Amino acid sequence: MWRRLVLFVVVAVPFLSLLGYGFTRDAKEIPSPLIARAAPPFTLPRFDDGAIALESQRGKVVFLNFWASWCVPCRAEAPALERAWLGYRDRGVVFVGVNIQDKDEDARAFLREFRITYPNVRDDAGKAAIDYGVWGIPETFIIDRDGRITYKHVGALGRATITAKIEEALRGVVSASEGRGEYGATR
Amino acid sequence: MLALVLVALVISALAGSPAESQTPLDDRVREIAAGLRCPVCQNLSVADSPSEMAQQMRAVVRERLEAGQSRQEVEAYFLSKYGDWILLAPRRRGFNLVLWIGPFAGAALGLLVAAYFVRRWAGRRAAVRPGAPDPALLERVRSEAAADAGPVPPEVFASLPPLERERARLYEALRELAFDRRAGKLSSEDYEAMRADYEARAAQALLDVEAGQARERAGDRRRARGEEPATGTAPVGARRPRPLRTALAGGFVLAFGVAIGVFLTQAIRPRASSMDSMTGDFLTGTGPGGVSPTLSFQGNALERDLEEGRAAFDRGDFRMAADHFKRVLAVEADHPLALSSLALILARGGHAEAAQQAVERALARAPDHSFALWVNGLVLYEARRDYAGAIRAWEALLEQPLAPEDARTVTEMLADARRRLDSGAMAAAPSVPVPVRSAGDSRRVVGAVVLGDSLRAAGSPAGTLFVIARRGGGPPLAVKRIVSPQFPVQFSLGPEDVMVQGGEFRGEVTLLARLKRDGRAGPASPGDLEGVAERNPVPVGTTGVRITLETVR
Amino acid sequence: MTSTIGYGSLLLATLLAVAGMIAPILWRRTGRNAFFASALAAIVGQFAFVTVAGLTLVYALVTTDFSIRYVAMNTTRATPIYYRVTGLWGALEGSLLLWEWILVIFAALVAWQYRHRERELLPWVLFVFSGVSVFFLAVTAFASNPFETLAAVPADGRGLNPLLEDTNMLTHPPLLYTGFVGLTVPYAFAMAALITGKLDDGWVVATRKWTLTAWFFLSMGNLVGAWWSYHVLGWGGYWAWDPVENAAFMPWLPATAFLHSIQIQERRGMLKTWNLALIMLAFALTIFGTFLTRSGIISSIHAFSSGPVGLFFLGFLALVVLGSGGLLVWRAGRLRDRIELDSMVSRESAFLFGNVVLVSALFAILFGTVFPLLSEAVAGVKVSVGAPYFNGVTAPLFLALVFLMGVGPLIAWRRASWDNLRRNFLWPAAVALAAGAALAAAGVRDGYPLLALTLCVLVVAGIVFDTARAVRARRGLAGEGAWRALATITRRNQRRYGGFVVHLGFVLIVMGLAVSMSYSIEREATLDRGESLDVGRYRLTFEGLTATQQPTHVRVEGLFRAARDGRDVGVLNPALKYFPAQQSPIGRAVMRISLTEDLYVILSGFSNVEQRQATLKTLVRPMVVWIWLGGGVLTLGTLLTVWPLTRRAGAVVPAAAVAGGRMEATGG
Repeated sequence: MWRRLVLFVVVAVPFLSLLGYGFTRDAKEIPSPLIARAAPPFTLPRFDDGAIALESQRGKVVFLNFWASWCVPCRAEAPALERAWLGYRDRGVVFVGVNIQDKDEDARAFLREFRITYPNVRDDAGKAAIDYGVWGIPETFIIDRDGRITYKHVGALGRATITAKIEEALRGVVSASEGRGEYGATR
Repeated sequence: MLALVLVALVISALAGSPAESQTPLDDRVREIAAGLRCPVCQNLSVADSPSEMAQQMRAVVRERLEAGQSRQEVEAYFLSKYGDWILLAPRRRGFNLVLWIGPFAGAALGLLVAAYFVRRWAGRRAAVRPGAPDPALLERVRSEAAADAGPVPPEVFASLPPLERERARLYEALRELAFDRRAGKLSSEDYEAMRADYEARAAQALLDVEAGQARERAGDRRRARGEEPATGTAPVGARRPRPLRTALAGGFVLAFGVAIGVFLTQAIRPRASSMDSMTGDFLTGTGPGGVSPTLSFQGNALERDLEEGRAAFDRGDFRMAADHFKRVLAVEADHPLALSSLALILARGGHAEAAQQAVERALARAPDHSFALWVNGLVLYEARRDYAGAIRAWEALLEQPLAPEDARTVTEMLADARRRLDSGAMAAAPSVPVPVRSAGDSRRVVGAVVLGDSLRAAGSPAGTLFVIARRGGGPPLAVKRIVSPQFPVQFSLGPEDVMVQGGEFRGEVTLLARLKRDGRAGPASPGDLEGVAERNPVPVGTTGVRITLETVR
Repeated sequence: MTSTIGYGSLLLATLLAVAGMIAPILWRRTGRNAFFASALAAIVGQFAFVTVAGLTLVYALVTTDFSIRYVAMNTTRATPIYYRVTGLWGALEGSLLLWEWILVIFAALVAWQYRHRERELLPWVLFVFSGVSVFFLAVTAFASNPFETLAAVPADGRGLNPLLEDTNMLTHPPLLYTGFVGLTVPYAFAMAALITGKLDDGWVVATRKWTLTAWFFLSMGNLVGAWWSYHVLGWGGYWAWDPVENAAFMPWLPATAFLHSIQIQERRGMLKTWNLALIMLAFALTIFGTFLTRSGIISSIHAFSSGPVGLFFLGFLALVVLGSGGLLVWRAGRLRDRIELDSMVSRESAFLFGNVVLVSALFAILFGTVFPLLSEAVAGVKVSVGAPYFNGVTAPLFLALVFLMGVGPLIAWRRASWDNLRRNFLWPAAVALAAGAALAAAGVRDGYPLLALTLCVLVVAGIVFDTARAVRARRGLAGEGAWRALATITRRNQRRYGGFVVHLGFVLIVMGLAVSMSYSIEREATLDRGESLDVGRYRLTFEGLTATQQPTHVRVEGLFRAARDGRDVGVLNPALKYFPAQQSPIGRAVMRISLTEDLYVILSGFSNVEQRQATLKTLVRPMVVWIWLGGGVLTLGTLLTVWPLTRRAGAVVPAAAVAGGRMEATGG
């Protein structure tokens, strides 16, 4: 009998512990393989005229933010982003917003409402979003001067995180972990 | 025959499969997409998912195939962007082999084990055979089996004692055997062999039943003579008093009654906020504030909560941050840092009163706390428009030792506050709005929004006020957003508030004011307040417009 | 007031449940029947109070009493009454209350039915029922209270997720929950048997009908879920191997295995330990299923919002698994199986192998569902396990199952000689092979569908042959007409022929699955007005878009004219519904259904209504209707098995009745 009991416990307990382990994990998050790798290049049309190509920003730190007008956490973080842009624009940092899965009028209204002054581009076909492995919204990538992704943040950003991570990128330091804030799902 | 009909139907169904009108490219796109997982509606493949992202991903797959890439290359592309997660079936290498091989190994193992046991049992069975029984007994068995009127209904079967159940079971088997023989499913030799076997066992069962009945009767006789106690009945007699048990039972009932009373009163106490729950929001809160699923029992939880609260605040996760600060306060009631941070969150959320109280508590506890002073100033400045008060708070703050950037920020805010104070925005708004009937700017609409009589009694509601100007019935022309308004609140709509790029703010507009409790722009939700201007439409250039918030959605 | 009544009833029921656990222990200690009676009373009391709580919540929902948080979150004033009622199980708190309600209904029924029988087992059965009830009541009352009130009563509620406002919401969850809870009955009896040491067949025989009923509801619940997925969710499929779908399917497998292997236990007295283990596994899987749904550890579209409830469920699951497993291992020594197996080629071993296949399928599905966690824990890599894995692994197992389904009912008990095999299998095998050849000739060349269909024909042919022979024997015996003979043998062998019909239903389902999964055609395209898309025999022409304002949403419909083989067959209008609160629209697919195939049209998108361009996705799926028909046949078969057709004949076999010497005695 003891042998059978031990056998049973040896099977049952690890299974239950595995389920318990599940509580410490977020089932919905997808870790990104892009950290510390070269940022995928893109050339996308701007809302004002022209286009932005990522390569042209080489030598500057790029703060890349994927957003949409229907996304509520994007609205929460927009003022912080604009303020950070105003603070960093003279320090070799460029903010680029990428609008995905959205209508032109709605996106423009969003930009006007929050008085965004940093350049924004449109990704109608979603290719850039897929290139960056975007699955939540908003998502932010910080790319250092050599074109390497140093940080990825899924969800709304606060001022302190923005500052800290941009400073890290300016020094060329790759972040140890991804960041998480309130986010929604893409459509 | 039924089978042929089925086959015919199937063939006719499949005859529809046409010679290909489907291009091979479509096929390949579909095949690859069926192996990718949709990041939006998880658990559906990219091929099946109706979401926009899946459509875009399918387009990417198609493009790459058209460019000549192979299936592996396309999958490698997605793997490099999303990681292993994107494949619906894990790659067969490394640890994942456990997944692929496991079930088959398990099934094979199971079958082998089963076969092994079957062999063993069959072998053992062959060794044990009951001897040929008494012929008279056999006759009895045969006649009883022949008299069997049919299968025993399950309820009756279930109520039989085990030995009789066994006998009934064997008679049933004999009956079935005879029927199968009739139906031609058994050959004569098989039939004879099995019948003999069963009859032998039925004979044994008969003997067992009779022996059992004899024992029962003997037992009954003994019981009737009083030698054995009847089963299941307690001795009838004086019950010994059991004070201890009674006391325990009483105590249990009392405790439970008290518990019920407490929980009941807790349950019917109305919730003050969505984060408050019956047993307290620490362990079992069911509100959206919720609880972090990670359990940790380390010491110094206070410091950690503070840290995590700040981190959450910086990230933008205000609910989480508030949670952490509340936890700190649960341990240390007037922790100034936690109170002021909480006050800031409350103020941003539109709860100016609560924010004020919180920060005043913090200052009462630590009058020189720099963060508390800063937040105090912010609350007064932003939420209550008390510029004088804010100036006082920030001047006090400047007397504390501060980091140079912080000092700079405070000085800037001070200057701003002084400017506003000087420009004449009244700190305490008058109870009756004074329409500004000066010659106003002809490109603006100026006025005030007041609360309707029925609503005034409830006090100043929290939320964000939107003053919306429309031309005709169309989309909004201009919108003014006022955070945490103190009624009556003045507004001034001008060209800078125009929504449509290049639109002009002139002509006649219809004015609507809407107080949104959730603070977000959009249509009215339940609980929001709305009101229209007294004399709509209003020509641009009017001053003294009055909008009364009267309707509750 | 309402919430006080509801919550108070829940608390009282909890108290009674605790009492219901204590009473049997006291009965065992003192032997006093008064405690037995109080155990019964506790069950009845729980039933009464939980019913009051349930009715109170339904009342609050129907009258849209928004002072109760649950009502405010799950209904609006505009919600129709029947969807307000379904709000009872639309969210976490209410669904737990529903589970508890069904549990106490079952408990009361069992207590009522067995109150004069099974005197030894019943107190412990009630103990187990009260134990499970204590857990669910405690979680409902203390962790996810549906009667929580709000301080500020909102003017209108938030409303159900629009996806859930569908008629299937009326049937799918209650059916499924009844199936889950129904498995508690045999489990309770099994535990009672283990606790008392009365390990003979009493508990098996007593609960057979309950188990069959639970199994039936579980099957129906899963089929309705598949129907819902196919007809309403509009992605073109009926089963996505979503973790929660798996969780609902997994208890079905050991339940099916159990239904078959208890026949072996009844006839041969074997497999006692195995049966106990099976039923404990089935019950543990139902708890595991609700745990998965409510804990959020595995992502799923079905999951309720996760909260602390998940942790409590894990605790309970651990208790159930370790408790019952430990008890089984401890008492297993007492089980004396008779060795009654004669040969590897016999019906007993066919049943046994069938059991092995079912449990292997269970293991495969369980492993696949849990593997993402395991991979993350062990290898640190986050992987997905989806349809390709599950389909690949379960297909061969289910084929093996169909094969055994064909072989099992025909092969002889105990030992099948060559002669026996020849007699029983020659014709069915020949018919099956002929059918297979015909199918191959007609174009079915792929391995799996061909094999599946051939085996299905084998099963059907076997059933038909066997029944025909039995009818012929009966007619020879009693001179009855063919239909009368069929009726008689069915009446005398309800289980056998009911089982045949159930197998027939299952075969229809398998055929539908095999063909629709292998031979579906799918096309997707963006069309301008007037453009067409060809799919299979059909041609769809895009005619235009219309947008209408409905009470709760904006509806954009695409009009597509369908033609089959050139002949017009009507207009299909799939739609996209835009709800103000939802980010993305909810699609409404449209189908043209026939016995041979379904034409399935989905409107994926459009570029604003004026531009007149629509993206559509269309599928032609053959033989999907057969799945639903199979479900219907399954229902008939189950009814046939449980319906009381035999008269309640008095005592068993009085030897005195020999005098009658009726000829039909040895007949079937």
